[in-house]
Amino acid sequence: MITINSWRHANLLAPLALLCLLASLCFTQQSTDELLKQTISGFESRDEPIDQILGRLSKSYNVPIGLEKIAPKAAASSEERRISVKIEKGTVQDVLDAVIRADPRYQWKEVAGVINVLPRKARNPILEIPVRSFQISNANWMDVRQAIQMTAEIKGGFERMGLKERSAITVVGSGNNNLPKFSLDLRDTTLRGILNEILKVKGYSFWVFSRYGNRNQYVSIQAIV
Amino acid sequence: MRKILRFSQLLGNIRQSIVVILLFSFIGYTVLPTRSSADTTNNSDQADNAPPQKQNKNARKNDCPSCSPPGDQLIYIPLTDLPEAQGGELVFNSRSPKEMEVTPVFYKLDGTVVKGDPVLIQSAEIRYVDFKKLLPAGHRGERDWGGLALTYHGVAREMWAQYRLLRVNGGGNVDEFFTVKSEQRSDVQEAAWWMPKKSTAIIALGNITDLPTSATLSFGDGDTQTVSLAPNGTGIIRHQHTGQEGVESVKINITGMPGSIITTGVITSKDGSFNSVIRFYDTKGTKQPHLFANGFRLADRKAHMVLKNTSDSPITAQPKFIASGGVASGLPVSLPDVNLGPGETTEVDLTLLSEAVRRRGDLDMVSVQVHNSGGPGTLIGSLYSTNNLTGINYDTPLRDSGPVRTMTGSYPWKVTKDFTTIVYITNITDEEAEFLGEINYSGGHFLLDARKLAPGETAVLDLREIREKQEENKEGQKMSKDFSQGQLKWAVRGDTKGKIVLIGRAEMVSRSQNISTSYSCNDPCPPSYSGDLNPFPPPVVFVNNTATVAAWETAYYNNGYNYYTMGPYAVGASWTLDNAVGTLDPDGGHTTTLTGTSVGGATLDGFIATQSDYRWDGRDCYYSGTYDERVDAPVAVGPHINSISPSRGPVGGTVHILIFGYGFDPNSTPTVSISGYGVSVSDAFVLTDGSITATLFITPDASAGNHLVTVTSHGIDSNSVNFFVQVPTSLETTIEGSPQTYNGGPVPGTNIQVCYGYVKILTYTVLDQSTNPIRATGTAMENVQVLRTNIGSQNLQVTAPVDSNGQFSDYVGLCFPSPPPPQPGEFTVARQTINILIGNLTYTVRTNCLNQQYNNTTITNVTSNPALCQ
Repeated sequence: MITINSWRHANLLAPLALLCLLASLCFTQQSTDELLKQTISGFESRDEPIDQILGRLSKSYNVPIGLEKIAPKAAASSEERRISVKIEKGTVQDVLDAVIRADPRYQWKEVAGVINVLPRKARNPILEIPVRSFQISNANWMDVRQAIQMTAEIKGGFERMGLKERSAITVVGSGNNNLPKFSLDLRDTTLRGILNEILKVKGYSFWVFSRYGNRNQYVSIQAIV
Repeated sequence: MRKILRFSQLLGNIRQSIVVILLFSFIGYTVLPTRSSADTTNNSDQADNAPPQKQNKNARKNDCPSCSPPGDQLIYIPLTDLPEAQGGELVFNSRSPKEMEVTPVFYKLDGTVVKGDPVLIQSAEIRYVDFKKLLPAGHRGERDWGGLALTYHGVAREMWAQYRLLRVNGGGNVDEFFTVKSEQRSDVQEAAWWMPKKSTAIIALGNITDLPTSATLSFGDGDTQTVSLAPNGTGIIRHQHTGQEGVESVKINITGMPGSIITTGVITSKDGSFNSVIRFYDTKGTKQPHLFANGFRLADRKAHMVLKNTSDSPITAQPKFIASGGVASGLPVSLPDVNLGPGETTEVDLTLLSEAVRRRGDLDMVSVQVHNSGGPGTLIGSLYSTNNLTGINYDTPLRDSGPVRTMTGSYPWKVTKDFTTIVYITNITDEEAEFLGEINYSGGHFLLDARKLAPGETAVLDLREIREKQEENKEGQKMSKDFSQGQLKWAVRGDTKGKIVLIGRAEMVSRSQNISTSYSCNDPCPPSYSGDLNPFPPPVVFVNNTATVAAWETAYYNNGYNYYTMGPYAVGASWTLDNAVGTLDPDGGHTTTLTGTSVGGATLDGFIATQSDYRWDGRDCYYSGTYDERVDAPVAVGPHINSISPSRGPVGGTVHILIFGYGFDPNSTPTVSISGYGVSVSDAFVLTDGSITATLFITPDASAGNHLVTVTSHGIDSNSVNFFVQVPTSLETTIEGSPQTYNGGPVPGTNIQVCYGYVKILTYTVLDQSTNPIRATGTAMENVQVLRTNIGSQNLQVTAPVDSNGQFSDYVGLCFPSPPPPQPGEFTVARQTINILIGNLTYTVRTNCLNQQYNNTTITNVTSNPALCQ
């Protein structure tokens, strides 16, 4: 153990420690192009919901992906469309293309360094509500989600659209989820922009925006490590 | 009456060329058959019980520097056919370790040679063959047969045989004994016998050489005859005995080459009621003056003993009859001295003996000793008896104790139908003597354990009784009941001090077949004996632990180029240690148990016996001193581990162990070692002579399961005990709590600040591959894959700390951060995979199916088939 008992030394080391912390929290950024060109072999998915497939792609290849799910037609139904994808040898982009081919209701595009998969039609405007400022410090995803609800522009948007943010907490493990903590200070952004920024924090790789409920009145926003 | 017989001189070149088989220039070979493949089977049977594992350093198997190599051998009888006989039967008696090709060569009375077809005789095989079937097909109708030779390539006496003329004058058989051509013989043959009234003595003289020879026969009644024999020819002399029963004798002086004539004789009464053999003796080759016999049965018998003084001086003979139990079991019956004048032949009055037999119950079968005041060869004799009930005649050889080989035997035995075979082995000395043997039959052996005979005692081995009794020998064998004929071998054991101490013979009788045969076939030389330890003591016997060893003995008949073995026999030994590293209990016996008392090395010695050393010069067997038969083996007494604590630990762990046991030296640094990959030892320290501490480091990828822990002290390893390396393998659900409902507010013990829903707590225990708890800290990692949901649940990956008892808590529930709480119909189905992380290795220990409903989560273990969770 190193004990530092000199203020002078402490003053010198503090900025260095901060830099190290930041470095550890942030991705070693790869360009989106590089991420998309990552070689993939033997990627196969059979009859899975799109979020399962993209979640696995994101986790396995460290590709930040955000998914705006199409609201189910049948209210309160768990019968989602399931698709199959098989890429014996290809790239991340090939997988994304295959997913879109399998469920053409979606399209994918790169948004600020994050792959966003979103409906071709009827995108949810709540994700695009302008947010003038979003600041949070040393918070994990649970804290951020609460902060998002409290953001005036988003809160107002939910109310106008008759939506309620109600993201299920699946409790497993020790109960201490140890989600990575981070800080954000965003200006002139959107909910999508906030979610995309979170994926640039080390540990988070995938967000999903979905709606459920008998009138699709609930919104679930999950950011997944 | 003087008669000169001349046999055919018509010996052509063809015959002479055929007689090349008589190339028997070798005088001596060791005929000590070795064990065959069948014997190997027998040894395998032994192996279950006690396979010898180590050759004793005193093994004497290779002691035959003077043995001759194999060569062409010939054994011979002078007579195969008689007008009075209704056929003949030959019994082959193999002492060879291998299959032998034997070629019979038949001689006409005039010496004409007829070569037969080779016969294959298996190792240790006894085979009975009709003489006619042995003859070449084109000669079976002929009746002018004389001698018979059996030729083979091997060593002397490796193949043996005996012949019997069947149903002579319609009565019993008469035996005839083979002679080894290469053995030395003199120019004199003598015989004395008893004859019933109206009987004939038939003397056959066979020329064993391919040169003419001649002899003069001088009968006891004064009759003299001269015989000239063509090469390989046989002459037959009939000497009538028209008067009352009485004795007769003959002396044959060979006027040709000494040893060139082989003789045999037949006594036959006109009505066939008494048939027996006339045994001839080479009185010049006799080693000592006294006569011996055994297996002489007296109960319900009419017996005759005939003695002849072959010398020119008076002698006195002292007949003595000893019960089978020996001289100590009952007073021997000594008859009055029999004084014999020069050349006199007499029948000994057995009245006193008969009276003793009637008075005592132990004289039904006796051995006979006739002490002679004269020199070697001055007294010959014969013994005959007739069963009063069956009329069967018995010939009991009464003769010199013979050469060293007399102390061995290889006899045919047969118990088919009404055949009986009884083997008699008699101690003819006034000191204890010992023998052992084996009964061979097709494909197997039954060992006859070493048996000591008191002075004068006779071992009576009734083959039918042995087979029927099914008694186990010391080696755990029982004689097979599936066989009814074979070969019995025996040999002297122990130190004979150069004396002939044992004689033996077999008597085979069948009333229905009119057969009464005595076999006295010997092996050329007694075997040497070699001891083995079995089980061989382990390299290390541990302090306060024991090892039991046993002494085994194998008899090796050594002919210089191969061995016939008998055994191994369970024998006793005197046990000692040359260094006080342990105790032996008992110190004498077949087995002993060594108990280690202190760490160190020693030699365990087992003295089995002092054995006579016999040497074979290729022809004769000689006593040449003694050797100690013993077994020994190095023994190391090492430290002993009783136990270690703890005896298991997890991969990736560091375990401080205590080793408990004996023999740890507090004054030395012990070496503690552990086997297998991934576990190392350090900081070993002896606390007391019974305890050691050490630290085990187990890598995350260490081999799962048992690793052997060993302590080495003073260079000697201890026993090993297991240390079990645990690998996370499964989970035990130790506690499953009830769901607790939350309507806002935090969930205690978690970092969920607001929960509208429910949570329940489970406690799991990590188990190893033996379902024992792994009591070590670690990390449980859970992957939750959402399979179906209608509330937007997503996959999760979380961790939980595993405590030092190998347990961790798992919170399972469904919350919302804001109301409403989960509503009926809202659900998530997820597959929960629980892994234990150790180092960089992941062990999957459980797969659960979580069915999360609005008010509870049902957990189903689907580890064996995760696909059940859909």
